[in-house]
Amino acid sequence: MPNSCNFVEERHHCQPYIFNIRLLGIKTMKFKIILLGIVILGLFSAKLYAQIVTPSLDPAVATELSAAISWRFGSTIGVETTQFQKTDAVLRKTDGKTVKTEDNRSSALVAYQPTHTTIQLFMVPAEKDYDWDPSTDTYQSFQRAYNKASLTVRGKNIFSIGVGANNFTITKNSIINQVKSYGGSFSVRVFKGIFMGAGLEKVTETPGQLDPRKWDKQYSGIAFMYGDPLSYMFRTELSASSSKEVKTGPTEDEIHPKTSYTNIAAEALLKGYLLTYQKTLESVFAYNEQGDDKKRDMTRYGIGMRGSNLSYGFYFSEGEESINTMSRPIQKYQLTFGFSFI
Amino acid sequence: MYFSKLKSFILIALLSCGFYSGSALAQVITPSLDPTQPIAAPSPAGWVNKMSAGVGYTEQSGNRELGGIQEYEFDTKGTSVNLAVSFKNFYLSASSFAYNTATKLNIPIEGPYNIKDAGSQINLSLVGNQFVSIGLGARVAESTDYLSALMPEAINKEQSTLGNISISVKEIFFIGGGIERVKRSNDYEVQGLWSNTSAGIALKLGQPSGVQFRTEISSTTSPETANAPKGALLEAKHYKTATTRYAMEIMFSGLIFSALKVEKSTNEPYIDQITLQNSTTNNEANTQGGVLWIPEQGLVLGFYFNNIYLERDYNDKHSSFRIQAGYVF
Repeated sequence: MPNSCNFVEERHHCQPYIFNIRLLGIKTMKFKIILLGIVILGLFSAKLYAQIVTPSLDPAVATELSAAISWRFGSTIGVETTQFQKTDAVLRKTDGKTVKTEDNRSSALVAYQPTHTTIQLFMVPAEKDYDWDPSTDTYQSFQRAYNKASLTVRGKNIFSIGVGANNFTITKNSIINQVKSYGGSFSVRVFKGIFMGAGLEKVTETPGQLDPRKWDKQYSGIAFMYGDPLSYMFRTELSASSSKEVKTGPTEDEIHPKTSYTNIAAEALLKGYLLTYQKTLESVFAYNEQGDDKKRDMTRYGIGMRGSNLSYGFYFSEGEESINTMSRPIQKYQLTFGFSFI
Repeated sequence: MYFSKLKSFILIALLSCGFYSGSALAQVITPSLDPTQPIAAPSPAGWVNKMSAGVGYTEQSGNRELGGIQEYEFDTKGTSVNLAVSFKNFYLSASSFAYNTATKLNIPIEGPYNIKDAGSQINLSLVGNQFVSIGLGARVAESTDYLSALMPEAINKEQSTLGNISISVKEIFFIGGGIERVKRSNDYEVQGLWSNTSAGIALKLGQPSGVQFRTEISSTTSPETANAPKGALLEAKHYKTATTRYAMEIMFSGLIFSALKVEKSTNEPYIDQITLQNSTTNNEANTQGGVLWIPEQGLVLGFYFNNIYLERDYNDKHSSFRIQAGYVF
């Protein structure tokens, strides 16, 4: 067993960043609903799994914050496929109807770690998802694609500094919303197993043909990760990210609402068997007194195997999305497969 | 009135160069622990003990408010490069930057704003017995500004020569100072001339292989100068300025945490557009933080973020983020 494995450097799934989509100056109610739907959807489902300070023990999973990829154990080629099920919303239950929407996506991950420098490329070519409008309990499909590139350096196995760039394209009813961001982050490792990290991301959103708007997103977290990925290893992480409300104009379409995201993760590797648990809470806060906060509360369980080269995982997520007294349950199944070189 | 606004804006435009190079401005006596940072005054280059090259990419956004109403939105992008090399006890550093600003006008007013800034500087210093560093430098800067519909792209050029000295006491305490002679030229004024005089004190502890700490406090002042109008060219006036810089850096195991604050005041009289009273309030504050990995040799990577505030009858607020990469040879 290589001694170099006594520090961490693995990783979790990729998680594109929260972002909003909203268009300025849209005149019709239909378009406003579409746009607001994109905003909320963008905020929620752009986020996958949060690895902010440390990477998942599943090497096929990407990290959200660049600095975390330094703590991987070697290079990886990974793929992931996700199947969503969004079952009947509460509103529908009252009239006895059941609506089931399904969508899926696939992603690819390449992480190259020759020495103390690590590069990660993550791509989701096309992800189909549905926007839920709680006022009418209707769903409308949209498509999202994103790419993420990160570069980090690890210094003396006690800290990591990373930079990254992201590009999201969300298409709904032929309206294209472009979200680009870049940022920097760092994490420090103390007492061999405790990791603390923080980062800042500058986001620019260009909705359709309208003027772009910008906001910052802050990340922070603390984690404990110790062991050997080829033997016994344990990881737990508490992390958060947030963005402040940004107004570019007086109308609701010109507001980026305040958002927050918290994540608790626990993972264990027991002689190649992987067990994971993750709890996430995402909130999009109302920007006026008449509005309601929107929340998504998800819990994910996973099992898998990790060998010296091959790894795979199966994940099941359940939770709900809620606005005021209305809610809808969400279920999600995921498979990951990775080929690693420690 | 027009010319008064014109002069005010020239000043603001030139000050904006300082906004972008805030980190360099904090290196008057000693160099930053980040060797990829440009060095504003020549003599600190002499204390650089690493040959390096660096490149930075900056995005900055901000706005201008007058009387609580947002007049402008600014969106700036740009790059900077830096190179430092040594030949025995001679040290040469060169840096360059270029920034372009897109401006959105939120209310229908006519007013000046910056379009782009660019500049370059070269420093040569000689170190004697690790006791004294004497440096000479030259700097050029060019600012392109929108002044009015009649002057949509006015160009201001600055050329300066610098000379300064810093003295090391047991390689821990550093004191020094210098002078910079500045010439400003454009198409509508006679040539402007003034001098910036700087002095500072610094403390540097630790060794490159261990924990290092650096702090520096410095000040730069320039008196008011005026060059008489000639023919169709206007009077060139430079208002009295005072700049104070505070820098603090700590580095352990190659990881640098950097903090910097630059405060600048300009004694420029103008009529406040809100109160319609005479005023000289013209204060800038640039606060910067940064985190970088600086190895003994190899890839440098990190980032800086700045918050910039300009207080006049209007207020400008900017925030910027810079990714810095480089290589230490």
